[in-house]
Amino acid sequence: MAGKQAAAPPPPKPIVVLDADGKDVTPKPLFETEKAAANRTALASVFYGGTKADSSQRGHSGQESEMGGSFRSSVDAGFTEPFSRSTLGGSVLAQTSIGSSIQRHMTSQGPGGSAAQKPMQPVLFKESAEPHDLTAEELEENVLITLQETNTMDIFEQAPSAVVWEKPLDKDRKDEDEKEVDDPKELAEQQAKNEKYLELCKNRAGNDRYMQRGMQTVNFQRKGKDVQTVPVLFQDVGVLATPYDMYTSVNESEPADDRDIDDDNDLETAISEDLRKAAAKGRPGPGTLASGSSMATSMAASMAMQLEPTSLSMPGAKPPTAGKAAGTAAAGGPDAPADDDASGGDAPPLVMPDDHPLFHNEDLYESISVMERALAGNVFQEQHARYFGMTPELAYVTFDPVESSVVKEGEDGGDEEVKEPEAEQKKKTSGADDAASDVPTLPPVSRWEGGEDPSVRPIWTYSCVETEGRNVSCLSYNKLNEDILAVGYGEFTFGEQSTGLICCWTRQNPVRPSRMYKVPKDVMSLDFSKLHPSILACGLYDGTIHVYNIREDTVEPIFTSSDHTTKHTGPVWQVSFVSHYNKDSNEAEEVLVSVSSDGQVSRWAMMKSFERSDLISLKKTSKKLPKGPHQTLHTTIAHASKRSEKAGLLHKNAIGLCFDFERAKDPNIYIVGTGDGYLHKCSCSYNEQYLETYVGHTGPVYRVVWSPHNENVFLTCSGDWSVRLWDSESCQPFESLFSSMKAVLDVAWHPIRPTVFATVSNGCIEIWDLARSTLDPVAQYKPVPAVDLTFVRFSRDQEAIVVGDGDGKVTVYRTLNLADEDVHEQHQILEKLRQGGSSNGYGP
Amino acid sequence: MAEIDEAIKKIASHKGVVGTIVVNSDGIPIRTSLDNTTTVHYASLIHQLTSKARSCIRDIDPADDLTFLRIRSKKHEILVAPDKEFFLIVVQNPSS
Repeated sequence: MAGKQAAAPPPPKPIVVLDADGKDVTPKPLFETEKAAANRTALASVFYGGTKADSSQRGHSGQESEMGGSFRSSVDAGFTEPFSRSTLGGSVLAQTSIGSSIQRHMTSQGPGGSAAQKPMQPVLFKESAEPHDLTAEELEENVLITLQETNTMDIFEQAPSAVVWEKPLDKDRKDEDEKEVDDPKELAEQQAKNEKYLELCKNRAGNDRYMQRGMQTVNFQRKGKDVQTVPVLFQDVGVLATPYDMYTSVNESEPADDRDIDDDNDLETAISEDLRKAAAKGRPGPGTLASGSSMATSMAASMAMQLEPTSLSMPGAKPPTAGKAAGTAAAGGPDAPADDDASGGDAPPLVMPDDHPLFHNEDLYESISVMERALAGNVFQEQHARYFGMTPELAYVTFDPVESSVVKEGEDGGDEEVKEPEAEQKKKTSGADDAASDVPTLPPVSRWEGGEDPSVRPIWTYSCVETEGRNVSCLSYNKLNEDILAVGYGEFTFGEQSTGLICCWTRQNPVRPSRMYKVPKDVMSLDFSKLHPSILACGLYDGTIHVYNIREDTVEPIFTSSDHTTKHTGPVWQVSFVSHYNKDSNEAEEVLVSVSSDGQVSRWAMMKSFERSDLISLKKTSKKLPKGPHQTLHTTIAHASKRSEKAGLLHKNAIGLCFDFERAKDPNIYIVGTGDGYLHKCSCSYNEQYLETYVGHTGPVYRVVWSPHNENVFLTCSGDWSVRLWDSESCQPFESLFSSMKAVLDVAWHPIRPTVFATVSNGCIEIWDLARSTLDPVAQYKPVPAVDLTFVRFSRDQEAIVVGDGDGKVTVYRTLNLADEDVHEQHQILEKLRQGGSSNGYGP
Repeated sequence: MAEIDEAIKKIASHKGVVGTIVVNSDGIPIRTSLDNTTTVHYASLIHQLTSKARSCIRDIDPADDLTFLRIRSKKHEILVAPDKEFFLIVVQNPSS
């Protein structure tokens, strides 16, 4: 243990390790050669000479020296490894020389002027002045430890011996480089050296003077030292940098979190808040929630109160609402495994009070409307498929008719069970003609495809609570988008008047109308504009005309004639947007035309205000008819009109019930149907006279429509149970169709087939095809609870018709197998009929 | 009744609607017609799925965004109308 004084460079003394009692405990080497034994101590002393350290300089406790001593002994063992004598000898020599050189260094730099012969000592191993047990005072006193860098020592240096001796490859630089060529003498020297070395290498193999030899270096013993600091706060923040996230940040400047992290408390708050947010955004599952909250609570004990609710309620709850939610939801928490298990149906529901700011968000209501449509679409999927002519297998997916597993208990489950058997019963009992139920159960597929006969099948019904019981007086497809259907509700018969209703239905949602306008009086007529597809005009029973813009979500009309002094004084039986192409101004122009009971046909301009200009006043006529088989029927009318003429001013004007503008030849010509049964051809340029009067009907003419295919043909229906086809050049109809003893309330041409049209009367829908038969309709449909059918229109895009009835329902029917003949053939047939008819019959 | 309740009634009255849940952006259900456990279950699961679906749509084209999500299963269909501030979840079984 005790070190010994280092001897002078000549004969180093052997090292002897003594323990506290002075016994010699020098460890014996494992293998000892003669020289080794002798040199052992010499080596050791050279390196670790047992000199007294300058305790003032490098004060150390006795421990260090102990370690040094023990190390020395290990060094001893190490150095006496089986080296050959020569190497050992050589090493001793080498080391001694090194030692001396080191000593030289030491003397030149040696701090504190210690003895010149003191060999270099490794910094770690210092000895105290005297080995002694440390007293209590010494243990207590502060020990100053100065750590210094050792001076840099050059152990070996070899100067580079590179010499430029080759000319560069680039010939252009020849001249320059020649000047810079190094000293040729040096070059020669270096070359000579190189050659010598090469020879040496050749001779080296086998030469005793050149041997491979290994060297062992000193491995300093290490000591670890632990340091304790204030715990470092860690925060894990995960960020997923997705391409769209970057896009969002670039395009919308998002406000940065302003958070003043002033003192530690704030930092903790901020961190716990971040934790919550991160937990919420990242994985709001119960598992991670528990871990998140535990991490937070361990970190900030003061935040425990705020964080507790987090573990109970949903992830990411902000403290104030979390407090409330925790209170209400404490018992009925989520499926957090670590936490309460007293949840279930007992707890009060998780609802927020009505003044939650989210409830004023417009987007929420919009989403609700979209959701409604999606739900309705699901319910009516099969119907929509049929409407578009798709086979059901192609179009829809059936759901398993099992009870949904979402609802487990309580009233909902009970209701489900009750509904199931009912629904099944309904399916069994109801047949194909189930048009009256809310959501009609469709007939089985076989009945749809059966047969080649033209037929009409109901698909679905537009109806809701508000429309129940009302009479459908008019409807109009939107000119741009056929999915939108405007329906007007109003009673025809006098004395049953009340408030009217206009509903805009969309095909996607047959359960609830998208727009509902309540009007003070019954609605008699409706029309969508062609030029501005969102404009809807309606005529009411009291003569007012409202114009709505359905694009906006208001209930007020944009124009109304209710304040006008010049409004109609009778019910407005028809309004129509008439558009024609003005060649002068190269634009399409549109005007709104109305006809009413007061016998006025008026044109309305919607520029800055609602302005009216009369087209014609319908005067009563008493056109005499040539004698013929039907004369007796007509005479009553003639008499009546005569009487009225004599009577004078009282009933001067005829009741105008319908009109239709010609589109093909001359946009100024139109036909007006009156309550007397007369039809008048009028022109916008003449407002005093009729161009032509058509006599034939014996009852009020409810509808007049020009044929979309034959510019000379128009069709009328009337209360005299008949439907008549007219040639515009002849005053008599060329075809009269009787099928039932009921007033025909509406007639409509098929948009594609020239000879096909549909009629509705009380309780019956009829499809006629003139190419097949002029005596009977080719298809008939009678809805089971017989209702007054008041309106019919063909769909422009699909093989379907839409029918309004007196019970507030608008039903969509699919027409099947309507015609075999080609469209052209039908065209020709119609033309033939027209010509044939004008030559027969009653001709002028 | 609050406007929101009327609006939600509109949806709930459709044929086959089993439940309606309105969840705010933090994942707290603010209106529901189902029991608590189911509501919270649905809300958290749908939230995760919608985030994934939204990130999928936006990864394809960052200018796009998710507007509606429908998940059809054997027993019913879950319709989700996601928004920045809320989720509207409706569960429907049209054949029941």
